[in-house]
Amino acid sequence: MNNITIVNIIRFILLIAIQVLFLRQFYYGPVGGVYFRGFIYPLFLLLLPFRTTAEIGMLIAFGTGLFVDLFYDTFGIHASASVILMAVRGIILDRIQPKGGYNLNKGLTPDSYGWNWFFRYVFFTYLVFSLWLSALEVFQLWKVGAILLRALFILPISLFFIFISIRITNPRN
Amino acid sequence: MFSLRDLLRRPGAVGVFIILQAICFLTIIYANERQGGIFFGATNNVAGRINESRSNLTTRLNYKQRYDELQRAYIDLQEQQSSMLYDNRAEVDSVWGDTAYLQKYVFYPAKVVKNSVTQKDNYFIINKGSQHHIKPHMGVITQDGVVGIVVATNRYYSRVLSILHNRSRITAQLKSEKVDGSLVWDVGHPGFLLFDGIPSHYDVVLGDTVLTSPASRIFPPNLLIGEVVEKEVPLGSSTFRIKVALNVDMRKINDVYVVENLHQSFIEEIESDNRE
Repeated sequence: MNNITIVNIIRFILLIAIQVLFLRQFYYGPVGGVYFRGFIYPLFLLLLPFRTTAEIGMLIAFGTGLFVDLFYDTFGIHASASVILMAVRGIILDRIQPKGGYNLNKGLTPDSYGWNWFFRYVFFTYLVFSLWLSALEVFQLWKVGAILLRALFILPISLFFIFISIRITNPRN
Repeated sequence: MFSLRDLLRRPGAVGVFIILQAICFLTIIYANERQGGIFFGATNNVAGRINESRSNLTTRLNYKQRYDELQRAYIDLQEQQSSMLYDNRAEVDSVWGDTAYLQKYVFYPAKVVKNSVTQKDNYFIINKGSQHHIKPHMGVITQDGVVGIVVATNRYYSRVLSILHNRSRITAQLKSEKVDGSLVWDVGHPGFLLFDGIPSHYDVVLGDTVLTSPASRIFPPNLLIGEVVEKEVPLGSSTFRIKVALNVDMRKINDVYVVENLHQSFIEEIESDNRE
């Protein structure tokens, strides 16, 4: 196992731990309720190496999502949202391609392409993720207001935690 | 990396995406109470609506059945009316037995499948034919009055000469005066007939009712036809020219009854008997 694989495995364990041990308390705790919650575990999927193919990426995302579902009692919802996040990852990466393109040896981090690029990357993928997740939770597509309200809370809170953790660790890969 | 176009060009990725999302969807609706409730509730709604429309259809079929029953009741009532029966008693004061009155008329229900009122000679088609015992020269009536006479039949359909026909002649009677005349169509409005042959010395009143005559071989007696709306004695004539407003709206006839006179052949037989 090379260095990058180990880094990703450790990141997976850490992010899932933060998610279910810390962020989940928002969900079940007395403060948050339904709306005040963030999801940091998809950061693991976003930081997967650039050369990860869509098929493998989606399978990993499916497993990750199911694992989170176990802790949230939402069987299939996080798996589905993770798969769609991984599916749009390639498209969004293509759209926000930095000058000079991507470097296969660099991680998809602010360290490699800058904070501006990283913010757009996380924002657009999380936008899709939040909307999809909210839609599946509400499950009644005509209740547009309820879906948007949920997404409106998930998106900034998640981004907040992601940027704090990236600031602290500042990963290269 | 790939764009959307590239993604679509990669069936593997699309396939994996669809399969995974399908698994997720099934998991969501089967393992989550809320989502499952919504999903299966929605499908139940669809099933419920189908059930509802089916019950509507059943109701309509029931209406049809109910209608048939009413039609049957009407026919029974008509056929059993004393004026519809043949008085088989030899003496008026004899005790009524089973054979005191004989059934004289049979009513066959039918529906009009094609109708015309605007021609000079109008016919309509009914959906019963020789297979249903319909024969030429049977009368056709509705609950509102007389409408025509069968002129031709095949196995399933019959052609009826409408009372709105040049050759149509109905023997009718003025209710108050008990005098017979014949009803013809004076080509024009489908709501009026001309009542001919009432001698001018009779007292014809406007509003008087015109009924079928007991002398009619085709129609049962005392069926409503219409009422007198105009009367005049043309110059140099000894009979009235009476305009009768039809009780039945010929443009809207739909359910009709074909009347068979069971005694018609006996009457014809004795009429043509030349023995002196």
